[in-house]
Amino acid sequence: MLIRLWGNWLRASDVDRAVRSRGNPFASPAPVTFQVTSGTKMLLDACVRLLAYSNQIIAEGIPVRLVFEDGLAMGYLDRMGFFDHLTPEVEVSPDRPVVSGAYVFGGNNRGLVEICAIRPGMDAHDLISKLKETIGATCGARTDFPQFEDAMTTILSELIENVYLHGGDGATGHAAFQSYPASNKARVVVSDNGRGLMQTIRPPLEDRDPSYRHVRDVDLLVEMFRDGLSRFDDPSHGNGLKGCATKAIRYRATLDVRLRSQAVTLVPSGEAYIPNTAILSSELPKLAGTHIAFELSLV
Amino acid sequence: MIVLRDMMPKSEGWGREMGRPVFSKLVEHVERNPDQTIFPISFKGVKQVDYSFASETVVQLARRYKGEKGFYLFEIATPYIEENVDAAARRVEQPLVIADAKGHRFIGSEPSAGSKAALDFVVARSHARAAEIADAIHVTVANASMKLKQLWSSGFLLRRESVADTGGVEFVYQRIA
Repeated sequence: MLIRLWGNWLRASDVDRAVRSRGNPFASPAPVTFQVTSGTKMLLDACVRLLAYSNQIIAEGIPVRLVFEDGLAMGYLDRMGFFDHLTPEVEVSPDRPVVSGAYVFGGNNRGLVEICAIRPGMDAHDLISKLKETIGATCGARTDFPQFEDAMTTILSELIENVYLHGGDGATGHAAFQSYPASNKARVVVSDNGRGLMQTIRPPLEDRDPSYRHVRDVDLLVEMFRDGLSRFDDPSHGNGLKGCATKAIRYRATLDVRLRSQAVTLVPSGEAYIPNTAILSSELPKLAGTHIAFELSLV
Repeated sequence: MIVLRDMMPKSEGWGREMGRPVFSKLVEHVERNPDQTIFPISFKGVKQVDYSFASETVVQLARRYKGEKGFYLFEIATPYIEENVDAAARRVEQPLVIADAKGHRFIGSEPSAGSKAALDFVVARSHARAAEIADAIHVTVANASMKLKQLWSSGFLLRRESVADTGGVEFVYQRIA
């Protein structure tokens, strides 16, 4: 299966669409090639989605190959440390860098982007601290920096917590941050390969309140981010995603959530996300886990 | 006095997992001081907390001892810490007291409109009986007593038994801090 990725500033949803247009890469043992065409630029969430597809497909024993037609996208992915997180068995053409660009450019020059692995049992504090350094290095001059830093780290810590809560034992994932000074935007992405938000929340929620059986995923998702919902029958839980939304909405953030076979984009309406403005893509190839991305406006 | 930072492994509090052992230490401190009813909690040295950490620690502590012991927070370094503790407390309808240079105020759950005047009276006086409040806000003693009971059971006030002028038992309601 050949999946071509092309265009200017691809989003994660563009990667999903490109995959869907070719069918389900998990459905057969046939090798899968992602071809990143010449001149293509990818946003952070697209890079993390490509990473998720590549790592999940090869974990099923299906060979995966990434082909870069020119050095632009490959160089960018290298600097962010993409290849450090790509399963070694994934074939890369041209060959993956011998020394990671993230290592070469680490520290000062790495600049605007940071991608970190989430692993079971790891210290989330260290991970957030690392991302916090990049947030400080890239956005430290903002007049509202303390507020911005609190918003970003709260979003990251709550989303990373969610990976441990909803991923299940052994779930792994990635957390990433990038600022885009030219467009005054920032992106925060947390992606995992675990059991998934709906899969863990729905059963206990429906047991407690059978009326939830008739609630669409998109409406449930909006409720999670607007009012808070938890699989635990304890009101102290379920505040994390709502809290993320409260902070993100101050930066007029668009929220993208990729579930197992559908994706939802929420745009803020005033102080909240509402179902009426949700954009839903369904019948996507099944991807394990939950993949959440905020695009924040920094103007 | 409880110094929260001394119970935390790092100056930032992120997530429930980090919060759980801190909560255990908080409970341990309270249980070691059975005669103390009001505990100041200093946030000095705490740089950040997220919702989950706040929920798992100070909010959970206040919930556990609601009506029995009171906690007030002070030396909170940033408005964002207060914002996150406030959101975590609101989630479970738990009031929390902040006592600092700005004075005594509540975050988290808010008192009902009908009982706010009674609460303000107790907070201004540090403690009061139903009869005093009934006089001050012009309601019957039974009505004042009901408002105070509701404020106590919701976690806004503490109370202790006292001997009334008539020789019976009455409650003295006490502000936290």
